[in-house]
Amino acid sequence: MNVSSTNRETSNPGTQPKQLDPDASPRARGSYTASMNPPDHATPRLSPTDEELVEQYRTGRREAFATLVERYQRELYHFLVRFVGNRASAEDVFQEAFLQIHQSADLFDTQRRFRPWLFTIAANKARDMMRSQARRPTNPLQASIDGSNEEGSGQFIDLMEAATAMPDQPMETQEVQQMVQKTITGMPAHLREILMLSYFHQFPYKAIADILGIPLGTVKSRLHAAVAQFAERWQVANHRHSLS
Amino acid sequence: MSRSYTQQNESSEASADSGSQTRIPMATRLIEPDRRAVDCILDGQPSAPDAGDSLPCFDASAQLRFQQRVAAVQRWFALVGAMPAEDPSPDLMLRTMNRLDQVRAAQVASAAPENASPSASL
Repeated sequence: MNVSSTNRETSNPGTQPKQLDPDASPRARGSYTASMNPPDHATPRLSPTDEELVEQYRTGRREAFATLVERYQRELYHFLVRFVGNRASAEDVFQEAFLQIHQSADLFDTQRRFRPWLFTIAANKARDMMRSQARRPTNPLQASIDGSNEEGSGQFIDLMEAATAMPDQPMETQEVQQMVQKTITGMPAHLREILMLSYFHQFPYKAIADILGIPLGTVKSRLHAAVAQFAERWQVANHRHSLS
Repeated sequence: MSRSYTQQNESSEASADSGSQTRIPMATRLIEPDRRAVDCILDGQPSAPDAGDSLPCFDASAQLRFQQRVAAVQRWFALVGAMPAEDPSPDLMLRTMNRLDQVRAAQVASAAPENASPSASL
């Protein structure tokens, strides 16, 4: 079962149709990149896989690396800007992540998938950056990267009952988008991160466990906590909004 | 959701906001059917039901209730999906490749003296 939402993202979202298999590279599912094909080809040629591009980069082909950056710039940037919450930091982390890819290219096992590896590196870099910012006294991120109490221990929420707090207007309205953004940005980073990876980037639970280096059970409990907390925060925000 | 429930959580958030940090002492959990629905939507597989639960596939009415629950949870995800994400700067790729070139140049420069033979350095 899949959620049909306009904002769920996959690799190369600018040129690829919506994917059902979140952990497959564009090439693995036989996608085409027309711009990479010679114009005299009668039929489009399959573009190289991410893993093939890493292999090509190892042999010194700089353009293979550029293709990887181009292929992932929108998806990875979207993950980062939603996760870290601002453009400048997202771009910094984006660049740091690809520099790490460069540094570690020789160590990458090309029998494995590139995309989870890229997200592993990017998520680590993003967390490092947020921790360093949180140490500064003026930054309010300290609480949001506090990993305690991830599963929660208090009252239960019934999402079907709570759906009465859903907005009447279409989801696309700017007001709703701003409220959602504020709601998610206020969540602890470890919950926000796992919601991004699972919902927007469609990584399966097992892949998320590998990316974050946590047990599968923790992936589930964090996701459940993330959804519960989103719904609860939304209700609070919606209630305030209705009063104002 | 009852109004008292909402008010209770609003007050706890407000008290947290009055401090210097943004900690919100909410420890709400999903009920078991919602957890299964979330797993079904996000991972394609519902979690194993708690002991004593009937399996939805063996009970048509339970299956219908589960489908309704999944639909409700999907509405929540649709709301999550409204979170905007701006596109990267048009020159992000160029800047990334420029940084890469700088790093590579620095690596080549630092490797060159190590690779130079003693006679070449004379």
